[in-house]
Amino acid sequence: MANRRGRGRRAAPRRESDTNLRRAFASSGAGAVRRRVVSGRGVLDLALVVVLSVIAIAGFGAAFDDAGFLLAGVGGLIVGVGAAVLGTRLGLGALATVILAIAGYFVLGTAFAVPEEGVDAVIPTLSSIASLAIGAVFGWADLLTLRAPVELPDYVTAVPYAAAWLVGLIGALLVVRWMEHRRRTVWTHALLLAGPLSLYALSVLFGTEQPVLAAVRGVGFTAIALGWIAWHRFHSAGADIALRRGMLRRNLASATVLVVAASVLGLGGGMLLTPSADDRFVLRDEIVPPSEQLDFPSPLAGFRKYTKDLTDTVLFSVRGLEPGQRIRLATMDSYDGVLWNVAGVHEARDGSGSFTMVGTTFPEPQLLTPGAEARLEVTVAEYGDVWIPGVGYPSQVSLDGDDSRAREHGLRYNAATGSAVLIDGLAEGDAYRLTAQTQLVPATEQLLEVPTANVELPPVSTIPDIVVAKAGEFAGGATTPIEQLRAIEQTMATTGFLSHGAASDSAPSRAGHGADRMVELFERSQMVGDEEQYASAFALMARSLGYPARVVMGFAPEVAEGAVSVDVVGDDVTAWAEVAFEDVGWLPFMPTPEQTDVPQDEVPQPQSEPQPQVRQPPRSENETKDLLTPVDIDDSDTDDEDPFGGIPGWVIVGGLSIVAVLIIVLVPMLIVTALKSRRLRRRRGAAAADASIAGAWEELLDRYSELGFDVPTRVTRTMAAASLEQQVGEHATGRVLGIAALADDAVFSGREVPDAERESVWNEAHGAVELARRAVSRGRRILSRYRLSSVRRWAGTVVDRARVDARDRGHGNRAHWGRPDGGVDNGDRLDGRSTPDAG
Amino acid sequence: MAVTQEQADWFADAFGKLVDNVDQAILGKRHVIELVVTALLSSGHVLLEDFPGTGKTVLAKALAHTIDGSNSRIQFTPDLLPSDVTGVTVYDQAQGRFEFHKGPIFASIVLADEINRASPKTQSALLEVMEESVVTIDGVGHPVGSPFMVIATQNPVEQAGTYSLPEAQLDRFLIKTSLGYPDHDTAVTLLLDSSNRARADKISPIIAAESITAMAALASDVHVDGSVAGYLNQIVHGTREADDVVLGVSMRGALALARATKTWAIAHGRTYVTPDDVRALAAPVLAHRMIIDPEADFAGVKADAVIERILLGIEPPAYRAA
Repeated sequence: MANRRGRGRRAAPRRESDTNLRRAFASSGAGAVRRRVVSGRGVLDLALVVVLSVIAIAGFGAAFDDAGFLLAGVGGLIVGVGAAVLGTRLGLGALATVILAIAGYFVLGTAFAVPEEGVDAVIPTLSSIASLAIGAVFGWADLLTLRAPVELPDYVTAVPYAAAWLVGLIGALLVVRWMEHRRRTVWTHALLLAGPLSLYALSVLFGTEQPVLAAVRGVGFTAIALGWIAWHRFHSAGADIALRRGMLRRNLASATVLVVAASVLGLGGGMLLTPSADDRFVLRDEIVPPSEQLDFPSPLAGFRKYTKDLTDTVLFSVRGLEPGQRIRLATMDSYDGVLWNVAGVHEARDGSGSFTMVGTTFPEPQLLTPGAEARLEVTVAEYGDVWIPGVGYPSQVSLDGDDSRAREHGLRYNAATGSAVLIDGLAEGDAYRLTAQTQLVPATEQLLEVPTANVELPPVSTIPDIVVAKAGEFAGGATTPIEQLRAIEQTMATTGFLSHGAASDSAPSRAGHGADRMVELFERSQMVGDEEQYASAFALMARSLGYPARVVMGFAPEVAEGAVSVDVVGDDVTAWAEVAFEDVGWLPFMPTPEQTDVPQDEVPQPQSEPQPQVRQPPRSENETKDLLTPVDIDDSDTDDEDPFGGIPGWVIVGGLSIVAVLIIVLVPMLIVTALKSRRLRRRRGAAAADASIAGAWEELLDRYSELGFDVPTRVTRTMAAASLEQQVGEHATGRVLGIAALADDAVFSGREVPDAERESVWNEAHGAVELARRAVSRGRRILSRYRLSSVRRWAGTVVDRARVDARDRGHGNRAHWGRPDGGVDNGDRLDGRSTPDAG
Repeated sequence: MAVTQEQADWFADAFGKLVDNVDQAILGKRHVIELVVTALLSSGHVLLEDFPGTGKTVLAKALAHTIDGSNSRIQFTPDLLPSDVTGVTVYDQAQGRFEFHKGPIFASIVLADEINRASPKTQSALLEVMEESVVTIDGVGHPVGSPFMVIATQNPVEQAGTYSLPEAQLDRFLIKTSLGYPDHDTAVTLLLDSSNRARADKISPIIAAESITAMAALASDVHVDGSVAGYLNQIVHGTREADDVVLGVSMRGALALARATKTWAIAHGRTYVTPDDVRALAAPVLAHRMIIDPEADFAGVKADAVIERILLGIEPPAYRAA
């Protein structure tokens, strides 16, 4: 301690010009602490924290899609370090400094971390502040569980911001408040490395299997840290100058050797011994991401809607679609005996219903052999569903329009199926651009040796026995998966017939793809159905053979060579099946036949179904009479009896509910409006001009009261006017008082009042009311339309009376002295308002 | 005869000048001066009650000097006799008959200074003359003339050596008010002019006594609508029904208020009385006519507060009387 004081004293005369490093070191003592000035050595420490932290933050790059994370991280460092230094310079306590840092976190965080949500990207909004708070708490989980690169939600950027802020704040507080007063040892300096080191570890754990400049960053971080510790070790040795020079040379030499060796070994080792991506430990590999269970109805169930109701309706138009390319809408891999549907995450991790939040850049599927890249521009017409029409596996989707950024928050994607949905749904006028990878489809010969992929799929249930039997029958003697599947596909396509069940089709074809429909497909003498049934049947057959199959619904418009744009209509709807092959991808199979002419004689006749015999009821004596009784047979269509013309019940209930609510809300409003109108007419049309003018004043008071002004009761017109003018403001000065004087003159002067004066006063009153209306907010103006002033003024009177009563009660103990009858209140007897119209 | 607007304007102008003139002597008390001048023009009398040294006498003298007429001053003391006020009949040996020698009460403006220092007997000597403007001595009535106004001053009853005025005597005063201490600016102005020991004496008369009579006559013609009269009566009635009040305002008090409101209205340039006039004068005209219950009085209840409470409970008329 004595030594430190001594150094402090020796350094004191020179501290004013303390600019170089040596002087800065010398100035670190008690005197510097009192002045709350960060020494030069402290500045160097802060610089080290910042540099190492920036190197660490760069590691987050693998998880983000752009450089926004870096800005956020650097910003967090600036805010954290800045708050600590500023708090120290201002002489704030630790708690006040932390509060300052928290304030800085939120005030400056918008610009650094969530500029999309700020005004002009800088000024905080409630939304941006909320994002900074939410991001600091929940952003970590999102960063781990969303597929990298993470683009949305915006608040994820708050993770590097908050981490860097915390590291910067703690590191800077250590430097300016703790290390400045203590003897520096290697360990105290090593402690300073803890923050950046933690940040580095965090960036690795929260990154992906693809590191960002791992060797360069690691070696750089280590070299700077070692060099810095070596430097401080020399300075904290406490030797005199002569001894230091000798040590300096030795230490510099050894430190240099150490750093160079570390660099060479690190870089070389990093390049030669870099662990493979699969061996890299990142947290996201250990965590099962919680996917959203999107409860959308099976699009395949609405297949016939397109073929019947929307046959020629243009659903959307597509630019960039190549001939032969099919548009995918939704992929279904779960079958429950009734429907093919998207499966929830509880059924399979990569199930078709497992959607995750994504930005506009979609993650790549794990099982894909890329074919051609497709770039589409889609403009939605009559299509209105959540499924985003696309081709192959989209890698990027960007919505057009002013609110695209907000709507992109609703994008969800299932990388396994390539299905993208927009939670809000698409609507007419929407447009988007889509970039996608299509699946390369190898020739059958190339797949002879390729087994089907081991993909975890949700189970299918209730596969009819006939489907299983037909699968074996159609597969014939084929042995390899591809041959079996192609055989089934071929058999169905050549022996079946296509019919959408429309009136123009040659044979009836029931909609649906439940187990009964599947049985019907195969039990009839001829297979009749459309894509819905054939794709469903094929997928079930494939699954029965143990192959991973799924059903895809989409559109197959005819694209002419050289056509720029194609309109997709409902009749273009189609469905097909896909089966996953190992290391190849999901390959499509088209089992739907093109033959539509079903042989008429092959149409099965309805079979008679004899009913079991039942015992006849006993004969009744009235039977004859009853039989003679004329019976009115109602042949009319039952639909005609429906008074609502077939409107669904929920619509009627909903409509009636809305009407009831409207009645409840609107009727009182209408009543109030009618009462006011009647009040106005009665006042203005009073027989005597003086009464009409007095009515004008009453109307003015009521309107002011309805506008929310406090209209005093039981006072004269002049007193009320003075009170109102004071409330309205300067621009009403004299106006209301003038009307009060006019009314007094007309009422109390006893003279005959001309009709012209009546109109004049009414106009004045309206003018004064308009003044008051301008003085209040729009909300109060609207509210005033539905307020009844008499209620307000009655309430005011009650309050006044209560005040008088309360005051009387204050004297109540003496009441019996003042009044022989013991009465305590005179208000009611004296309340003889002579107003003929109380409004 | 209805008062015309021109007459009302003239009255208001004259009233304003009278107030301005008196205001030269007693600074910063314009409202009190207006009340006193109102009493003068309503043929009423004024009782100024305040602590010693607040300017009561100065106000009374200034008002007396404003009018070009006779004025006198009676300094009431405990040994003052009624005849010292009204006058005495003495035997004139030369004429061989009794002759009445008029007392100081025979003047247009009579300043009855510290009236509550005289005995009740002497105070009562003023009853007849204040009500009827006639002094009856030995069965002979002696009119005091017109205008006639008594401005009495008194110290608060709690002061030593005072006799409280009897109720009947108080009822004779149209208005009872007090001056109170001047505010800071007025006090500083007065202090800077402290060498001026007789401020009231420098007031010059600006109006003839006959004009006062004419103005009082004009004021009595001011229109009072039935609804306003009803309002006034409700207030007076309220004083009789109010808690803490032993004795309410008499009909004389109600009439006094009606007279005063007419003068107050025309003094403000109006030819008619409004409820505002009634409210403005209710306390100065009615408060001293009420007798507060002793217990309530002891508890601090003031007559002014009772009047205010009554006013809060009555809705002023908004329409002309049917």
